[in-house]
Amino acid sequence: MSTMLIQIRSGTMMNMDTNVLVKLSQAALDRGHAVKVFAYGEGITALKDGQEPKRFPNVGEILQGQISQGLTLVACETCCHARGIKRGEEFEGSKIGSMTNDLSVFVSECDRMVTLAR
Amino acid sequence: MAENIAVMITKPPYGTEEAFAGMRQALALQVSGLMERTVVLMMGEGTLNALSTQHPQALSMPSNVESVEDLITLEAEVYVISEDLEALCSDARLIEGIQSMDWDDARDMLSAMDVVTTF
Repeated sequence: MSTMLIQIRSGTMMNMDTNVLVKLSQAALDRGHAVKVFAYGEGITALKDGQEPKRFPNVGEILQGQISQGLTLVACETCCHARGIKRGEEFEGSKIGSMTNDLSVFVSECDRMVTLAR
Repeated sequence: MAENIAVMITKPPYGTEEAFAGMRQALALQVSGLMERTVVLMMGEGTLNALSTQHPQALSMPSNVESVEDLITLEAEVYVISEDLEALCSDARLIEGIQSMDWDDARDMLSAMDVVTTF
């Protein structure tokens, strides 16, 4: 089993990057790989609880389902604070963490890293 | 298992968060102690982050010069692609500690890195 790290830096409704994220992570999970996602910059909106897009896929809901399959999802705390998202506003199973304590460990443990941003 | 990372900076300073965010991320990885080598490579318009003559106070923005200096102080390696910078700026004064590199050397360096991310 390999570990894939995905860094997402686009917001959930900005473009299709988060849709690519959930497709990519699901494909890796289906093949038995570990998947860790670090949300940075606008990407932190991925773990905001209560997302309700009317006509688009609900990325938050999909990620919650993938967490139950073993995906790890952590967002940058500084980026969250800058955008007014506080601890407790992330959905269950995800975490508001940090680059120094979480991303650095993810990078050191990964076999591949994919960056999704524009 | 990754022991080193290259952070490529492709976006210019200011205007977007990208270059600043990339350098802060490189700094966090460097101070974590988990990377044996953290490299920041400025290319394209990202090479403008290497200029010592930035005046971010005009924009009331945090200084990318200080971000670069933090990286150098903490012994991350910071490189700028010389051809890319010369194409944008004929009289470039670099922040002290930044090293110039051509694309041939950059390609060799990137191919030797365990992990690469782009800003």
